[in-house]
Amino acid sequence: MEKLNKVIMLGSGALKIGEAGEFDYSGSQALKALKEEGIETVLINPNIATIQTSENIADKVYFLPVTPEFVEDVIKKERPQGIMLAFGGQTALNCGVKLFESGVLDKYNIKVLGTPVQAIIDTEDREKFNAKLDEIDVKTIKSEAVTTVADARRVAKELGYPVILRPAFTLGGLGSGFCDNEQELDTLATKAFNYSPQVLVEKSLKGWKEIEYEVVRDKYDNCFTICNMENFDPLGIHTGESIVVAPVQTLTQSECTKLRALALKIVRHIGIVGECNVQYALDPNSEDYRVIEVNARLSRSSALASKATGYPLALVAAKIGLGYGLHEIKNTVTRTTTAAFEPAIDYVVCKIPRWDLGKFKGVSRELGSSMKSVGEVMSIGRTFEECIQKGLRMIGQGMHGFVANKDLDIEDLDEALSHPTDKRIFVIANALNKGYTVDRIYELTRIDKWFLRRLEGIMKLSNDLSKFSKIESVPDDLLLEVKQRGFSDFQIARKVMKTHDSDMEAETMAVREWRKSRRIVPYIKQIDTLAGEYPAQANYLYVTYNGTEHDIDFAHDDRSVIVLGSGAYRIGSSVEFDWCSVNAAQTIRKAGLRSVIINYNPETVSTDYDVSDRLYFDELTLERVLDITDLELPRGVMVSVGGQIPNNLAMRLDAAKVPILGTRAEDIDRAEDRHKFSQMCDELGIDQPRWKELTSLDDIYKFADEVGFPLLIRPSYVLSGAAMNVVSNRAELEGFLTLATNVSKQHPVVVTEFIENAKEIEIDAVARDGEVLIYAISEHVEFAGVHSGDATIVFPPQKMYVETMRRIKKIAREVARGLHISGPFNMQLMAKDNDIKVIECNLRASRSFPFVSKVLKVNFIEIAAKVMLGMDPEIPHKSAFDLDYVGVKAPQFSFSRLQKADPVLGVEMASTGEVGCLGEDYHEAILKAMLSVGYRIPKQSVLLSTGDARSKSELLGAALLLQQRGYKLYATKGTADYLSAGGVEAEVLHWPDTGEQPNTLDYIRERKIDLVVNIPKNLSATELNNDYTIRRSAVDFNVPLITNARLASAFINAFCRIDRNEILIKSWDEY
Amino acid sequence: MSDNKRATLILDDGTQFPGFLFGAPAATSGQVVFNTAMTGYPETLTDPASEGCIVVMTYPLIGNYGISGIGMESDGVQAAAVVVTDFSPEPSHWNARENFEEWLREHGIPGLTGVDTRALAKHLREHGAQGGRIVAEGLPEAKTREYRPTEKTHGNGKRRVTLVDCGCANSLVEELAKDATVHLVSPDHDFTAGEHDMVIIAGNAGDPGKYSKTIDYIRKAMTSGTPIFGIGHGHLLMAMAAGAKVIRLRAGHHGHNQPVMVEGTNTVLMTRQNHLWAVDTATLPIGWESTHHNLNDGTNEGMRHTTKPLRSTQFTPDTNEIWKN
Repeated sequence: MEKLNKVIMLGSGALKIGEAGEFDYSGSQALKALKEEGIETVLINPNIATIQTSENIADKVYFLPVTPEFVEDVIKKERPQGIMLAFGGQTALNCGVKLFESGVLDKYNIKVLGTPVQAIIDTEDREKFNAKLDEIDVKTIKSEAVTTVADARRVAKELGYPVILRPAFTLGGLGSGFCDNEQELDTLATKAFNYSPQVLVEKSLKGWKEIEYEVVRDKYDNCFTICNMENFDPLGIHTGESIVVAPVQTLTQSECTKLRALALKIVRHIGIVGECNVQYALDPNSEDYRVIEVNARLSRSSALASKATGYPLALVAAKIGLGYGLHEIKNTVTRTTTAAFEPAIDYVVCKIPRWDLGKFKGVSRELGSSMKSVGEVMSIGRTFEECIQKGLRMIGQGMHGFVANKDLDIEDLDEALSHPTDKRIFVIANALNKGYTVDRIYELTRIDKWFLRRLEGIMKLSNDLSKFSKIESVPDDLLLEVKQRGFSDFQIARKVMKTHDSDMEAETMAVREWRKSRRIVPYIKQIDTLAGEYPAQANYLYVTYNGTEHDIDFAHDDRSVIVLGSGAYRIGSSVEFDWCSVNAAQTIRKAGLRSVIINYNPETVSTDYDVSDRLYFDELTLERVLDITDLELPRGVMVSVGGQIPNNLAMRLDAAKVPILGTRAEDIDRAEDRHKFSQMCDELGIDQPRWKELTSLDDIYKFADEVGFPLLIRPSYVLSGAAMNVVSNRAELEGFLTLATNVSKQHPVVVTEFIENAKEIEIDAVARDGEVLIYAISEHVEFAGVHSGDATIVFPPQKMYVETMRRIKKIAREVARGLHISGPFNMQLMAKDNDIKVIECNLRASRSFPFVSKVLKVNFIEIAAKVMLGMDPEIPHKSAFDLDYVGVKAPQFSFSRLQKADPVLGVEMASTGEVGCLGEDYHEAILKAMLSVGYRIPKQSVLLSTGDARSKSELLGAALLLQQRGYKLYATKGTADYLSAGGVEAEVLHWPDTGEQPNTLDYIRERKIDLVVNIPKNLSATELNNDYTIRRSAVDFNVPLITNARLASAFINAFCRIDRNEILIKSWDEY
Repeated sequence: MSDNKRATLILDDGTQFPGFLFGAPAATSGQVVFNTAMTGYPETLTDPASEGCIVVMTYPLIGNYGISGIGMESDGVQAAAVVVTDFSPEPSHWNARENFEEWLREHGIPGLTGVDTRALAKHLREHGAQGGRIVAEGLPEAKTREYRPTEKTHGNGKRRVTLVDCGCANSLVEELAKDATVHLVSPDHDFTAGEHDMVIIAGNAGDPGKYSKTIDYIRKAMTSGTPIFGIGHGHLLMAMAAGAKVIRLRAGHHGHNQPVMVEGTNTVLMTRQNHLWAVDTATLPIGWESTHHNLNDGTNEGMRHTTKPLRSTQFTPDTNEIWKN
């Protein structure tokens, strides 16, 4: 084996739809593999909240954009001998292909480790791919690559509708879709060409089964399939949108043997060295198949397959890349056998996507060939029913499993079944309930009847339960059976006791106590890759009722400390909380205690069984956590590092006498409960925006008269659309309250004074016994009103009065004392005219913990975890004032995937990820961060449409700067007039709906514009359609868009003041 | 499930695994072995290697795609019983002819469901494969069956092969018949007299100890210069004929994922296996060498004579490998 000294690895950047946490997991594993070999590693990844960009993982970390230019700069500086392209998703792969094609890799004599670039190109370019598989007589989907809309039309006619369009070289099916007729094709094709110069027109195989194989191959040509998976939903729904089941359920041995043999043949022929997946379409009525695609890299599916089987695909792929044979790599679960085998599993796994479509205005909810989900869960069970019901609880959208949920209001069931949305499985429940047969549902959904029958079985059991009205009268056999089929105590309570919402908690606990008295309790099983054939050393566990013995022993030695993880990634809670969970677990381990993690998100590092001493890959419901604490009898449970899910469990765990580490549950409640928190603030003399919880329209109007508009409205019951809204006048208020919500005693509405043009500030801190040990204050670029998760955050603050800082620190101290905080906490505040008001306080780690920890180079979670463990953490005497550099955290949006959604920022969070970059000064840090989330420095022209007077004036300076730098400016009428008065010349482009020339829309479509700045006029819901059209077109035609005046100004100032070539290529440790 | 009759699997060491009866309502006994394959229950249960065994499926969901009648490894169910965690009462597959339970009933085979088969497999792993019985109140004994080879000729290739049937799976016969005229004979048959280009001894039925006659014929044939290829028990019998020892494994190799290393190379083969035995490599006499070993537990998986055309493997190799002999 050739000895390499230094290897560079490309990360995937910010989390976005189609490219999420799975690449933190695969990248971290690969870096671990390199480290084991003593190879120096250099990582480029601006995603600061990841584990892979933490200390002691890579030797050098560059928080820079993963683009060919920046990667070349790093290569020039670091001079690595090898590069790994397969661990950073499509972003890294695309970047690597460009570096290869432009000769950069050759120029610096860099070896691509693992699959050769040519093989990658062969799999990415569909025409080449089909030709390659033709060589070995493997069937692909009949299709033709076209470069014009007219050709697309011709090919579609030849193939016959329906057809599917797929742009080449895109992430997760971006810009692809089905067309039933020429009209639909025209629209979609036009859009698709904006993503790629080459678009494929294919015959649609809607209704076929979709099957996937994960394959590894080493340099000795040893080639094995690690896992096969079957999509619950038929072809036509993107895998990322589908429920996926592993192993396959409805295929015969003959079919599996055939598809496996094909996979090996394909992988060998293409020349993969490492890991890849092969996706098939399989005819549900014969053994006819088509190969859909091959991904020559680690993927979302490979992360899932790793978690589903215990076979660490990324680690193995990295070792293969270094030249090892599979038989030379150890099986990390058994530690006695090798990686040269195909896992046998003795359980079933479901992946279920998590959508957050409710957060977006105007988005289409229908599922199709483009991915829209923002996260996923994996559930493990020993019956399909157990598995799917667990999974449906895990997605965390208020569902309790397949049955016993709130009724959905469905107008047309047939329509809802044949046009699936994010609610599809609950629509099936509804249909079964209304007496639809399995055959009928199959006709409408094309979901295999095997799955439907299992679901029907759940419904039948649910009806059986309903026949009883007291838990004590349910026969033990039935009670055990429903538990074996995945019913939660809650579902049982609802079905048997017919309980109403208010008594649910007590009744659920009554079910628990009863079944425990009947000895109906779950068992803990191990995932061991070999179905029990060899003993497992790794404590990778799940909980099941389909068992009679535990696979592990419980020492009850008071050494177990449980960390509750963060669950499915969603808008508002993602990789940052995984970072916190992992760091907490590591601190526990270092303290000589047993770290135990409960989490169920397959995309995470925390669910890598190497990270903790025990991993329970299971639900974060009260029931399940209590099941585990009953067995572990832990020293304590940490509820403050995994975000809101564990935080919400604090009170109930405490009531169940589970020891909570850190801040007491009742104090957590005092921060969570609006009334209690306000009362404390009043007592401490801390100001808050005025708010009231109101139960009638009259009261709301009265409050509005008192504090004035705008107002922030938070209903507790939402009929449609987003849950929170800002209204700027009485008409809007009325509209929102009558149309979108329901105000009553049962459903109060929280109305809060909305302060405009206020600065928003965050403080992240750790306290012990009410004394603040360490803190970090950061400021938002945008004014308050943009959700803190969507804001661009600067740390240390660059534009804040020392006075403000001092006062915020003081408020934090008082709150910490008032709530007796021991552990992490975060506060959001706003400052205006020297007035400081507290918006929110959370007694848990926040989204910005990894960011401030890494910028300050002080691990806040390690300190917090030590506090919670009762240790005496060493507090570095380091102040943000000492930093010679600036950190900027910027949000990543995924609007391009969310068709029709309005890409505008508001009080509901919309971003799917973030980056954090370091710079010598504010401008450099802003520039790096913005480039990292996909903005490009405009070459020639900028379109300005700058909203209200305040925004217009805010942007005048920036416009002047653009003019000075020689940019061609375009503007809508009002903006052009304003600019002109201020001495800036801009050519007028007409509003889209006028149809007049020159028109904004044409200029965006024809890419005559490099950057669109469109500031919404006001925060009202009656947003002008024109503005929406401009914003949406910018997104659809892939033109960078900024919708906030302050951010636009910051970005324009940054790229006008700093030349791209002046950006310093410095690694984290060099700051 | 609670409607089904309760029954219990009692192992020879006394350990009990209660469950519910399905399939044929009968009591039975046999060697209890676990199988880790995730698909292929029809193949596994009809494999003559499962003859008389109580087969424990570690994969919990069995019967999903029913029974098609295609891909059967013999003309009936060879296993004495099957033990599962859960099974599908209704299959879903385009070529399913009947459901799993009906099929078992038709063949008089009892099944036990609702069993923690992982716990059972782990028990067998730790305490070794052993006998066991499925019992319940008022159950008749299931009929015992034994795999009986039938003389028959398959294929019409130029190459003439005598296949000594020690419980050879149909899939192997079909595979061989693609390239040869395969004449199946019983292990009691003196094949040394036949006219052929090659002798293949294959199958995994029963205890290898019962094939003493076959060993004598093999010993005789080994001196004749006829190419011989042993597969499964054929491998064991050839080893015994050559003077090597055969050992019984604790739990055996039963599944689709047994990694086999080709000696002296970096090649690993993924093999399907279903047996309890292995040749003791240390006892191979002079003139013989190991060609394969199991990557998981190091046991022998293949051997050959250094000069004569005599080769054998514990697993079923690619037919091209066989013809190389």
